[in-house]
Amino acid sequence: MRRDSDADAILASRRDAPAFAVLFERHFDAIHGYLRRRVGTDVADELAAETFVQAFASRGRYDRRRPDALPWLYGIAHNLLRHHYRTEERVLRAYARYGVDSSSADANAYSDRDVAAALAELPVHERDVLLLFVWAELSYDEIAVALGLPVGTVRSRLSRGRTRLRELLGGSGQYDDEKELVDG
Amino acid sequence: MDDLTAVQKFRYPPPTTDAAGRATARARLDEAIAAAGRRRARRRVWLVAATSAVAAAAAAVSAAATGVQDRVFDLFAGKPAGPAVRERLLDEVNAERITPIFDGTPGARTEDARAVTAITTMVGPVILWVVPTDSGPTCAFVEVRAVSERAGKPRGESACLAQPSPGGPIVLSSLRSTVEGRPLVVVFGWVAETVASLALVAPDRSERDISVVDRFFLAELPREHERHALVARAATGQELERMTVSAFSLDAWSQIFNRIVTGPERTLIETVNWRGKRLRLAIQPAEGGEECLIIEVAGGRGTSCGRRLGVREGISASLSHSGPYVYLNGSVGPEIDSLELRFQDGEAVAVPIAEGFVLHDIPRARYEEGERPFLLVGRNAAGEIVAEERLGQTSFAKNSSIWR
Repeated sequence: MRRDSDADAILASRRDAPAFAVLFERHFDAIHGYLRRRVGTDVADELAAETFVQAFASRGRYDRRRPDALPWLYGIAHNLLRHHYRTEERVLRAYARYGVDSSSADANAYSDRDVAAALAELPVHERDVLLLFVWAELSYDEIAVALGLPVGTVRSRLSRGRTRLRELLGGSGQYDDEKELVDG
Repeated sequence: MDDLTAVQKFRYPPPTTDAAGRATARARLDEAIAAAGRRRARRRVWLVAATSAVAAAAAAVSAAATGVQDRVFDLFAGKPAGPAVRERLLDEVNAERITPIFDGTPGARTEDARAVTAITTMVGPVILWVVPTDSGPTCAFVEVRAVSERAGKPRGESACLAQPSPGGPIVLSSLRSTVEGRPLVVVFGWVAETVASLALVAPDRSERDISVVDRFFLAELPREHERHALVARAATGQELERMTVSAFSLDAWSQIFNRIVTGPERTLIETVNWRGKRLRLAIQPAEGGEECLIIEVAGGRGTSCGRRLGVREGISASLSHSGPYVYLNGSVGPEIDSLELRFQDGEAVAVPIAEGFVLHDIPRARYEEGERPFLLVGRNAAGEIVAEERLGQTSFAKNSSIWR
């Protein structure tokens, strides 16, 4: 049986509001998991809940040509996340200072503490694009939708973010070729 | 291990969502949904009262008026009526009463006249009717029910609206009247497909959402001297256009709705179509840093204005038709150096670009299935494909004016 797209569900919810709950069931775990990795459980609980309440309130503005609502939901989550960037950076710095590294047999592996320190130093707009790409596994187009940016800007921010991340992790090299990235 | 893998592994896997947090979030959403249901119910009660005059008028017009009130309510509730409802509305109520309004409009397909939305204003119900035309623009009629009832026939304001574009996503017109001593200022129009929402923004930055139904909108302006802004946004929330609107300054009114041009037209593209008729694309500066885009096709002329007429990136172009003529128009981003139009039979032609704009005739021989244009391909200066745009085929539909 064909599953209705997110767009179908949102459209249906304009007449039959409870139809919107389908989106919650489909995407809550993804949104919550992403937020949890970024700002921890307590803040993520609040932000994920608010994301769906705000999404419901603004469902009339949803672009029905986009069958998958996940990028849109990430966009709303990001708007809420903006107020918690300092929290995120504090947590990352604390992790970098005191965090326990997962044991790794790979001598070339970066430690979690290195990664936390590097992420804390990344400019927020580069961190957002990078983490949507890596953690949320959004494509360039989807990140563009989520953040309301042109695709070209997404590409350049990701490239700059990777270059900077590599430097912060003690490596080198510049990423200016999208072929090096896997665009979902 | 590369940098992306390191980030991917960091805090992975995330702990699974605990049931309590999920349940709390779901409860908050359910409460929001329930609250929306309660608001809708309250609005329904209020709207039924507000629409009684319309229902009464409908009943008077139609002998078979059973159920008309529900259907009129359906329009007032801000939701587009379903096709069956519209059909019956037209059959029972609208067609006879409204089509004479459009009879004098050249090329108007009066059989397709329909009501798209309605609002309750300070002077009672106001309804927006629209009718497509063979020549392209959609013509609209804003009916003020209180005046219609007094006159015994439809009364309001009509206007033919240009085609909105991504560069000028709002096409705006207005009605300004005094009804039984009370002023009425209504704005109406339609928006480009890129517009997901419209809002009226007050000077204190408070916003009021304006319903967009089938891309049309209708709103009463507040009775204040301050200028408001009509703001169009994309689904992402990105602001596409902001137009200043004010209720009571006639001078300002004139400026808003008949944008004052500040310079001569500058023709960017001028050519002839397959029948030797002129095609022309021009731009003209207007007040407030805006520009107007003018497209003339075989004597017909359409204008749209805005702060930015062309797209910033990629291709935004489509096939349009005017009478028997099909043409391609739109704009491309600065990264696109050349544009190729591909046909279903595998052939391709180069389409000239002038300052980012495109206006190109489609010959009659290309109207038939299997021969039609279907794809635009944009290349950068190095010849690499950087954008593609698939073209809609509605201009070639069986009921299109091109076949008449």
